[in-house]
Amino acid sequence: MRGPEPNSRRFPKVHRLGLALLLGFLLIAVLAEVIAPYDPWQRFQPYLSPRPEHWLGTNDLGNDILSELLHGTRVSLLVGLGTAGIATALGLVVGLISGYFRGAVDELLMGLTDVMLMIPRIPMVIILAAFLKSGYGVIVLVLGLLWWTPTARIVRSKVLQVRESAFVAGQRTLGFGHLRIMFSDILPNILHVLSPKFMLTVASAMITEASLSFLGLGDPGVKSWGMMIHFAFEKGGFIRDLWWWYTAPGLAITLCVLSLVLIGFAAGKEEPVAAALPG
Amino acid sequence: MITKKAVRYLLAAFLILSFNFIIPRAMPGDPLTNLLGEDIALSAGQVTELRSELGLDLPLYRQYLHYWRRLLRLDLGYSYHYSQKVFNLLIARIRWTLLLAGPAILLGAAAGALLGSLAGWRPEQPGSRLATAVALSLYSIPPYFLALILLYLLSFKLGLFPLKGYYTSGTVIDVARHLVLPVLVLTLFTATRNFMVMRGSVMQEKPRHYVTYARAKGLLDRGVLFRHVFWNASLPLITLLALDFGFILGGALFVEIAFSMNGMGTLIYEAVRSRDYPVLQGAFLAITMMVILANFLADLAYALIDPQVRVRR
Amino acid sequence: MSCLHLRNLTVDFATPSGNLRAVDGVRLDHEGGESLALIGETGCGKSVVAHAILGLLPGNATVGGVIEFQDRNLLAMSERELAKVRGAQIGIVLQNPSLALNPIHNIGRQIGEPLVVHRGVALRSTRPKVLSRLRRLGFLDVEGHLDAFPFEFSGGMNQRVLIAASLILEPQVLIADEPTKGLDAGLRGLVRKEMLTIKHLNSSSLLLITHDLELTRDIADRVAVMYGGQIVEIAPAESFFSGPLHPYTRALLQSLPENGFHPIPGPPLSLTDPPGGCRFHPRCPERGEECARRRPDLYASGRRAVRCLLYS
Repeated sequence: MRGPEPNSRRFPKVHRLGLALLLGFLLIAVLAEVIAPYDPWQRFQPYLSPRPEHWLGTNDLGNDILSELLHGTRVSLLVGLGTAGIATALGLVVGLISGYFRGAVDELLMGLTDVMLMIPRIPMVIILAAFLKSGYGVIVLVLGLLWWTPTARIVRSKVLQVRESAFVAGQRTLGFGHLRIMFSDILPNILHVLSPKFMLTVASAMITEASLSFLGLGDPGVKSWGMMIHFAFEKGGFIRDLWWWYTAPGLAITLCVLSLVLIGFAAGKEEPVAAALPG
Repeated sequence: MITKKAVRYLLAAFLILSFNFIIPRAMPGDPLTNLLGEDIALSAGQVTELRSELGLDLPLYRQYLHYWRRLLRLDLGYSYHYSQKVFNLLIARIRWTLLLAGPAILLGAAAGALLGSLAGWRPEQPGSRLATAVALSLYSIPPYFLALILLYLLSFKLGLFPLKGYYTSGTVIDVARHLVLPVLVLTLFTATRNFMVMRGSVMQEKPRHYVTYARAKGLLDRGVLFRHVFWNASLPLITLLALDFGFILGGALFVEIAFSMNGMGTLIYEAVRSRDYPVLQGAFLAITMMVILANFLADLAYALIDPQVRVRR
Repeated sequence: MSCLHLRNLTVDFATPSGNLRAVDGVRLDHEGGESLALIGETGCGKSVVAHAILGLLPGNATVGGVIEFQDRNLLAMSERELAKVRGAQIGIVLQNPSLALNPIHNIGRQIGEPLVVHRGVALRSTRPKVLSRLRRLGFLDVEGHLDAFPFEFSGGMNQRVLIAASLILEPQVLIADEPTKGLDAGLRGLVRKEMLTIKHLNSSSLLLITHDLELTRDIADRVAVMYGGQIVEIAPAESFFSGPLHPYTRALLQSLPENGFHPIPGPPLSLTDPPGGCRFHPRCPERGEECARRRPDLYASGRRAVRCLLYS
């Protein structure tokens, strides 16, 4: 027995542009080895300016920047998707339980959420990353654990709404179990709030990863966009006026995030406020 | 309602402070190093001395009590890297960060709310579309990257603004000049978020019944928007500002680093590089406390606008 | 005197499922000083007419025809000019009073607002007028109420607040949109009293939009019935209730509790795909052969008019 369907999603041009861009990036991430002109660790003459053999020049180690850029797509996207995946999953579970069962469970979970919302994420991650000194796996995990709170809030309020509708009450009187109701009826109706939030979380996570790498908390053994900017800043790219070195990854981040944001905001048309809240 | 929130904040503060106690002791590595940082060289004798001084051989719960006693004395530890007490260091640096973040938050809130409400009120108009496109694009740029670009174009190439720091000569005008670009970057950072939320909020309020009635009373467009919808729509924005304070401070840190300004940002940057854990912990504490305070203030502001929070018994 | 004349009023809504004509060529005269009731089932277009008069329809509505008020066509006015009319010369009390009030403004401000908007006075100076309005509407602790908020009041109280706000500028015409919708018997009685007070105390003419026939009987001087976006009968109140002409009107009166709750047979009208000929003919007990083909005009005779081929 299906409940009321979510409003039909129109796909405006903006949404399609975002999707096209994102698809482009995903393709690059997957096909990096094939499209990149060189292996990103291969060394040539360092600090070269853009030229036919090296469209974006080379960095301080002599690596081809274009190849770095293309390979970096994979890492940056993975970090973003990983973080958002963990965060959304956690948020979904917490929000569902909280909104569905209400009462003491709700109070407890929401209290926890409130407290967690007040922990400043960036400083927290900086400290943990500094102590733990390891690579992206940890960062993804930590960020994911910190980022579930906005999603939980949104899921909970939607669940509360849907819960009240008559068809759910009908299901209960028919004796359907909690889990069954949650998955077959409530879940489909909150998906259209969840997916834009997911997109925006990926976007925020990518910016955060780039920022953390910039601080030097990323993994120097891995090519990511954030690390590229970090080294550009650290190894004299700024002073030597090698603007292409940091502009390329910066633009890449911006465009990728923009594509996610376009999808996120366009799809979140029905809940424009909820979609825009931090996270 | 306010007291219930106050309890929540105190609880949050308590939990976070306790968490701060646990971290250096739970993280991998020697708690002593975690508490002192990695930037110092100590003899074996000094090590044992410090260990007992810091109470590391005591049972955990006594260390906990110690910790709280020191906290209440505002003793946040000592930074060997800077050869100062952490507390003094923080106080000196926070002032500058607030000087950067304060105006940015206020300007960003005002600009974002105003422009966002106009864009949400008439979303089909080309002006609104353009504004939204610009806001989305700026939203997607990592703040420090934007800082670097502006720094490169306006300071490096055109020499319009100083290249780094909060001041060179120390006069008010001088400081103001130094602040222009960083405040601009941070303002754009917050304004774009506020813009999107306000726009969405206004779009949600528009179809409401009281809006029709306001028109029925004879109010013109601007009247309906600014006498009614703007204030109702601003409520989610206030919530956002509170929740976002941590995020904005994070942005401020990065802007400081990009502009080489001596505030909390560069402090944390240095501390990360030299693994100066006491400073990192102290900074984290300071920022968290500010976030909690900001949340509290935002709650007050919310209560000012929404009577249902004030009046309901 | 205030006269409101609707000539060939049409309202179309652009919807995903096609064009919906909610109001189809309505012709109505509202004389100064009279209480005219516009009645009909939900969806017949009466509320749309009310909103159209003041230009309060949403963006996807297209309005045609003429609405004459004091020798001017309201539909031809600019937004600025129309805003001067709204609230000051034609007031409207919307449905759902608790939602029509702004939740974050206090009562005093909301009632005084029309004075601020139209007369340019400060809010503080509106106090005495607001207080007297509240007293007239039966509120007791008026001083205290000024600072109260809508969520602290009951639906009935908010209803009266709305009436106070709409009457404070003493407009020539007051439109009341479904004032008793969803109210229980007790509140309905209260609203009835208020409407009577307005009718006798004020010099405003009243346009009552409702499907509450009892209220109509108590208040209205004249009654107009709408069905499927068209006016199907107009009559003075007495002759309306004693001798309805249109088959729909008859069926409507039969459906009253005191007449036995006889429901009107047949499925309700679809406005996106209305039947040909007379709109009511699929459900009409007296339908003839022609009714499916010919569209009846509004046939007038004296003070009465009927849109039915039986009277052509």
